[in-house]
Amino acid sequence: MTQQAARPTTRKSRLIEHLRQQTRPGELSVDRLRAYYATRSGYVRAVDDVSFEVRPGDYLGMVGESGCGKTTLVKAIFRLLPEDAFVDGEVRLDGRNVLAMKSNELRQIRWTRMSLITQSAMNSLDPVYRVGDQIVEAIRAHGDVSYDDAWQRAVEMFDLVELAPDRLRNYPHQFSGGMRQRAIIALALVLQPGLIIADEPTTALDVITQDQILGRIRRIHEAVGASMILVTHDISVIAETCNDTAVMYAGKIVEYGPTIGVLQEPCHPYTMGLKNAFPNIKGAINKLIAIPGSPPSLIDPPRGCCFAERCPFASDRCRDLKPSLRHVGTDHSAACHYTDQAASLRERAKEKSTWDEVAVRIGLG
Amino acid sequence: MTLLKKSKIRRASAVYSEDRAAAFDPSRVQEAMAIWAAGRSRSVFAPLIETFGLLVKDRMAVVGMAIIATLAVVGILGPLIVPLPPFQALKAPDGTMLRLAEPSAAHPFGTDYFAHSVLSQFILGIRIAFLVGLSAAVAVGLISTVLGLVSGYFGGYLDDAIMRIVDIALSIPTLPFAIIMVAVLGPSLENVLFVIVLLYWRNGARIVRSAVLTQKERPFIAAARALGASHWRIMTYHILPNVLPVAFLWMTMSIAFAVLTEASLSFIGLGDPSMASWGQMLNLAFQTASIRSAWWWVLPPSLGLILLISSIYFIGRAFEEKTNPRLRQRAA
Amino acid sequence: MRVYLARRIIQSIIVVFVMVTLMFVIFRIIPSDPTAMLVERGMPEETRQRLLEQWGLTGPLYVQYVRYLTNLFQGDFGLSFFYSKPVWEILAPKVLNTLWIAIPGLLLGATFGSVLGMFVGWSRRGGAIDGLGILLAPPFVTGILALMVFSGFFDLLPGFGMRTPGANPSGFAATYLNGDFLQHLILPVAVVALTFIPENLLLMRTGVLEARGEDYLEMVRAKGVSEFRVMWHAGRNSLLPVITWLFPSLAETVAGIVLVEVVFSWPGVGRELVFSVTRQDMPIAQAGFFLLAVMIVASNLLADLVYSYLDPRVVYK
Repeated sequence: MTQQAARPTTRKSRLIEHLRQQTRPGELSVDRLRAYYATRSGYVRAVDDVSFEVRPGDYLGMVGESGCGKTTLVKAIFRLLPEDAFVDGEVRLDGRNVLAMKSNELRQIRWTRMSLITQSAMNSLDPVYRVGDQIVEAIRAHGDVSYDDAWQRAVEMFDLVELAPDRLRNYPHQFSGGMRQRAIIALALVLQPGLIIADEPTTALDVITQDQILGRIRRIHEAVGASMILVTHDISVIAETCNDTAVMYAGKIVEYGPTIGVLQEPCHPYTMGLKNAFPNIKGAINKLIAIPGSPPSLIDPPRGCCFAERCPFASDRCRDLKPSLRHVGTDHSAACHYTDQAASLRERAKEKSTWDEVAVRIGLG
Repeated sequence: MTLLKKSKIRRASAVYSEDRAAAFDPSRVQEAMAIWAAGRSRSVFAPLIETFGLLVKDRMAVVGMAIIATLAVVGILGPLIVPLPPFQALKAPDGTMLRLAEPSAAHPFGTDYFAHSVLSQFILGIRIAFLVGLSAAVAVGLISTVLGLVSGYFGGYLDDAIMRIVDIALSIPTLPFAIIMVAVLGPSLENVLFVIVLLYWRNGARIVRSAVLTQKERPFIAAARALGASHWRIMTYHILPNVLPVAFLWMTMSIAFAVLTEASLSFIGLGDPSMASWGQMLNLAFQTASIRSAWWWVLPPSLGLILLISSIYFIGRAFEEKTNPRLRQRAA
Repeated sequence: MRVYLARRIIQSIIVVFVMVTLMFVIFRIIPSDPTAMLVERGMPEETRQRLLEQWGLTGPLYVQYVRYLTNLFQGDFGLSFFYSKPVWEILAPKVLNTLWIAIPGLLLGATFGSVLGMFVGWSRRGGAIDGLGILLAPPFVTGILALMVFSGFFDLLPGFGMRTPGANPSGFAATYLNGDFLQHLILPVAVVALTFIPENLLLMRTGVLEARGEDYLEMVRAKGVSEFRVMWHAGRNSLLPVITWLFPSLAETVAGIVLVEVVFSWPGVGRELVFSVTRQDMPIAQAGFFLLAVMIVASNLLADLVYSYLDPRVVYK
């Protein structure tokens, strides 16, 4: 077994080295991005004034519960939203605004400068085409490459993720969940993009495979050096892998900063609540504390802070005035009126009673 | 369960225990009643009316309905406006037969080879088309619905048997079979109708059956059975209303098929020669080799067929689009 | 896979068998006398009986049935009442003629219809097609209109028969591989294709409309491929439901072919069937029907084969 592992490693390490040299880490700068879906009842403000940065080589984690706008954000960056969606703001990749590009330019940078690892590989791969052909399609869309050469490249990519090359001839439904995800990773790397966005890449998988895939993604990030964004609802995953974290809620970023800072010393009540929802195996045995209630309507958002309804520390000021992101440390910011009291709020947030009060207040007690 | 008034529960259970003295757990009756009340339609025709309301929103469907309505009106009022009988040889002022006359003020559609007024024949053709279409559709609808209901609801061997028959019947090519049947039975309107019905119940039964199968799975059906409803009541009162829109759609399409088949048979010469259906008109035009020259004879029945069949098709398509949620517009 | 095929073949054989029996039954229960064609009014009874024997119309029904079946298996369709020649001799060349317009017409119609349907389903307006009405006409109407326009008004193309009257070629090449034949072929094939297009178009359009919202299309677009290729993916995925629905409707297309043959006086099996019916020529009618039915069953079988090739998921079930 170790013998077998030795040989692919050298070939693999050569591949990885090659990739690293070819990869020019991308720089992403999102500025006041808004993305609204058009519905009969009005606009759904899925992404409402979001700004963040990914410096070359960074690994950013975006966390938030389902429906907070994470996937819309990803689609907005790629310009994959429906035609009738309202999109505003700037998304600068390596200095050029993706949102303002003409289709030709957009098509060029897609996959060559930024690529996507999606949520559910079963739905992202076309079921009637072979997997190899789908990789080849991506390659040949961006250059005058012969079919054989492109196929060769696909073989190399599969090698990288430890999938047998004859698997390329298979159809997506013949892969297991974990294998499909590896294929998607191979696909995402094939044109050495500078920025890779992984949108909930492990949601549909069992925990063991989850771990493997996440580990793989992390190793690739370390080895190849591309900038990465990991979008997930699982905060423990971000703790392991990302160097920066952004917390999203109701279409806005409520806290943003280095992962260590954000997770160890959260300054926004929502982040504090999130921490509670994920068990710490090493720590004392506590009851799991969930944040009561559900996110507000995105069609008619509340006037003040969007979290005020569920926040144990909310005041009238919170309900009237929207808090903006303010600094709480180096590169660390949170959108709360009471960031100066963060330390004491943190302590209170660890108590179950704090959140129980919220439940009573909402009417769920 | 604060949703249902006690009196309603009492009344409803009374209805059901009439049908069947089933032994059921009284404590779950309320639960069953709630499910049942939530699922059933307010009236037998409710789903149908709902669908019609949806239909009028589609532009092409409205166009289709307008065309059909216009044709119907012309067909009904026609003989009053144009008093010329369709089979009377018309004469020119100088006494000769007015054969193959081009359209003029006196005869807006001209005359055919036998000096008959094309317009009168056209109007008669409208009536025949509607007659054939509607009677066939009704007959096909009845048979398909009954068979589909029975087959889908009872399942098992009965379902298998009926579906086997349908499958084999479906492999029989339509027109050749129609040709032979009409040849064997003799060319008359009744025989043509008989053959059409014989051919089109096949698909209809299938379609109704699959709709029944979907309905069968809905929880309120199980609730109704638990409350002691008989098979008959479930079929007619619960499943039928929800299946009616689909059956109705098939009936609409069968109108088109029926008209098409009758026209085809008449064109070949197997239609009822005493009736001036559009197909028959074209048959005569063809037989007398007047197609290339007498466009006024060819166009009206052709356009009539095209308009009628297209209109029905538009309606059917609009219906399908409105009821198939996956077809609703997803931009880019 | 082989099991599936074998099952389908057996099914097809059963269907053919049923149809053959059906034919037999229908023709034996007809009220009119099948021998009216053969027998002149004043013929004495014995002569008539001898004629009946000659044509195999005597004896109890089940005997006739057995004789009928054995003949069928040996390829003996009997003698035509009208032509007084073996049925197969009459019909064999006509089968080829029918295929000459059927196959190109259907292929053209399927291709055009699918491609057009793909474009229409993909377009911005979500595939609202208004001008389709003209194509929905019954096949013979399209045929007649085509005849009127191209052969009558413009006198571009011949609209009668397979070759210019008077010519009498023999042998395959002389009959089929020349310009005259091709000229005569154009209109019938075009009309057959036209009748087959709407169905294809609509099915493909529906399929593409449904496929438009699928997730994998987003991924394809994210890869930076051209919009055309994205549409092609949608089309390829729709191919399956299109085919599922399409081939069963082949039975209707046969009707179209029969009508086209009549309109253009094309000497194929369909036209012969129609004539035989009016002539009360029972053997040809039976055989004609049989041949058409067999063609349909065969094409359905073919369809299943194509289906299982196109959907890799089916094969692995």
